[in-house]
Amino acid sequence: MTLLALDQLKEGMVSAQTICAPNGTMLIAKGVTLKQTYIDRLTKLGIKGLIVDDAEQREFSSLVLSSQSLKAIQKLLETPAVIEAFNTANSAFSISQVLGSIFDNPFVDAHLKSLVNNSAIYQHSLRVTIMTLQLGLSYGYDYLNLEYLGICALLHDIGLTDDTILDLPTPNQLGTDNEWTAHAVDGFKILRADMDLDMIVALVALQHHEHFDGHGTPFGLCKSQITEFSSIVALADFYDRLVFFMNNSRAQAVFKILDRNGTQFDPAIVSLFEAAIIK
Amino acid sequence: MRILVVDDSVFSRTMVTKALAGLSDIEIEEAESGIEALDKHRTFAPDIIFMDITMPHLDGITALKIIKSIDDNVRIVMISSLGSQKYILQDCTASGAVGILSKPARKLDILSFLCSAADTVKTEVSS
Repeated sequence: MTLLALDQLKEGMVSAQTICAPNGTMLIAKGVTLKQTYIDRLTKLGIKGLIVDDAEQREFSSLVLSSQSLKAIQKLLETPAVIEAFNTANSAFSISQVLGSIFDNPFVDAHLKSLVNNSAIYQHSLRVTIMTLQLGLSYGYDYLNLEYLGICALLHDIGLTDDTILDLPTPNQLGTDNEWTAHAVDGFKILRADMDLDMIVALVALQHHEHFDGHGTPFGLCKSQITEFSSIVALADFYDRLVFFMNNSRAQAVFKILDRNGTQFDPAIVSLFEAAIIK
Repeated sequence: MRILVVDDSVFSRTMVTKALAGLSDIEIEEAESGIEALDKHRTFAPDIIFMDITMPHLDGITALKIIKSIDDNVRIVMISSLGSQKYILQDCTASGAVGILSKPARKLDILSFLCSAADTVKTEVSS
């Protein structure tokens, strides 16, 4: 890894550090391949330098799984059931662009191996990524935050090994031996152990079954204790399970989400859902 | 001994690090949010954490719960202006904090917690 001044940076280099603005907005994330727009933005913000990966020392995975996953998710974007459920007719191109960056990330590829072992979990993760990005676009996140949000969504169920719980409604109870708790904690431990992934990715895996009113799992966190990314992925995860595992129609699923406004889900995220998916 | 000081206020972090200044055999790192505390926990592996409660992005009590769920050995002392409130004390203690100090934390109290936490760490290391 090498620290370079901004005027030494070139497109194609890979950031080896994450830089955040004082308000917490991510400016550049570790593992991101630099584009000229990113470099210009950092220059404008007065950032002096950036640690980049030394290309000669990087070990690339073959990225075979990444390119397969990108094709799979692009195919999903063309599927009528997905277009209808997630209202992606007008945003498919933008979502594809972000997905391209996500799957360019070699650190993501390393985790796809465990996801692809179970087709149901894998397809669920890909769909949740699409819907999460749809919500993120509606929110107005910038490109970098969308990439990170997408990675969080893609890997949120990495701790899940048994797909039979995907068609179960989330219980309103805590329990350390509960299936819902186990896969959230396991996913957190797996992602936390990867130093190349930002902590927010692990946190989303941990928190995506927490409820706004504190009746979720594993810790019974509430309101602002749950990160924004986690709240968005939580809603996308539940909606996908309603439509694709619990055989709800789109209208039924929408009703159930709205019915849980302020209890299971953050009202701000439900508003986002209304704007992005319903309208 | 590795000590992590977590507070979104630079002033508050400085108060704690100044209290620890001059002690031998310690390394100190700082974090300014609960998320950064989690990150530093995995990269720095602190023995003791002094953590503020009210922080943006991820508050101290949430970070405390998460860290204690994966690391039972680390000793976490909460420091907060809310520290005197009974429900806060109960929540922190139930979540695994070894103590709570009210801001502004006195040097004597910080060192007292450090000593008792350090003794516990040393006992565990030697056993």
